[in-house]
Amino acid sequence: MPCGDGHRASFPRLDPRYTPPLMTSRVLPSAALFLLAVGCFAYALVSLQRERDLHAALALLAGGLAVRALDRTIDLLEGA
Amino acid sequence: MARDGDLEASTPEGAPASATLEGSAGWASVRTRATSLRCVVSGGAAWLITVAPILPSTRTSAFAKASALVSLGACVAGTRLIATRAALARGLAVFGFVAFSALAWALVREVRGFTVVDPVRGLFGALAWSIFAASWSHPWSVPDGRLREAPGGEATGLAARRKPPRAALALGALGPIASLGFLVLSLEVDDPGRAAWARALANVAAIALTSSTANLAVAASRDDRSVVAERWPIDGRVVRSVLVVGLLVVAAFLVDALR
Repeated sequence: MPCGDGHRASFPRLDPRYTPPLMTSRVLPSAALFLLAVGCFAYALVSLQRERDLHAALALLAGGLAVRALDRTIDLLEGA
Repeated sequence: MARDGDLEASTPEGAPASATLEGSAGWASVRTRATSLRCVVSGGAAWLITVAPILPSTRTSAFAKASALVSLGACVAGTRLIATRAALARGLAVFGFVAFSALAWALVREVRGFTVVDPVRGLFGALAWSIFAASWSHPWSVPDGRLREAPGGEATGLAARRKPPRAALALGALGPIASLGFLVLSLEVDDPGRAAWARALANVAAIALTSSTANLAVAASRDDRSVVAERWPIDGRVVRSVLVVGLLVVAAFLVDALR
């Protein structure tokens, strides 16, 4: 099998100039879960600052679950 | 033209593909000088920060001072030989420089004066030696003749097969940006008992979100439609997790309401 530039030219996706399109619509659930996780963790930190420990614990738990869901969406995105 | 520019930008330091190396003597000369300059500046900086303080001391031996000077000489002489005698250049400017620098330190009699380095100098010294090591790890520190003989694609380092979409890079950057925000927020917690928890929480959140967004960026920029699922990435586990998050939010409101 030929290799080098000739081989590269016959397979455009191996061309370093090629940029695949981003799958915007399928990234949206993951992006939403990312924002949810960020919000939960930020709220947990703010609650700690305001000495509201129960709120902080609940927000930390919620953030952990949001990250778990986010990781699951990434697995599904990769065809798991 | 723009696409050609993109290709050039994808190789280290804008280096042209090896196929165009032939006959690019002017560019090669500039590249060699740039390599020499980078190596000598980084080595000189490391020497100035960590070895030069040996010279003015009256309590250090003449051998220590001589070793310090020889190490600098090896660094400068070695970088001058990069273009012509690469092996000798590496021997002098890497091994000779480091060996004589270490010897100079080993010969210092007044131990306390030099081994107890203040943190700032120590930090800058470590950084300078790291940059020196990185400057010599570059593939352009081999002679031009050997570069011209290299097969196509071999002389440009590890080139990416393709560029990721910019939006994917932005997705990947979201995690570190959010992490930085968490770390700043955690510094706002004043109570000593809670401050440690806040730092731990911020670090855990930073690690989780940085790794997740990096994975998301890779997954989102895939172009293999046989691997990437066509449907939306939502299943029962995702829905259940989101429902529990909603319940926790409700619980937080109830806690407030019942007080």
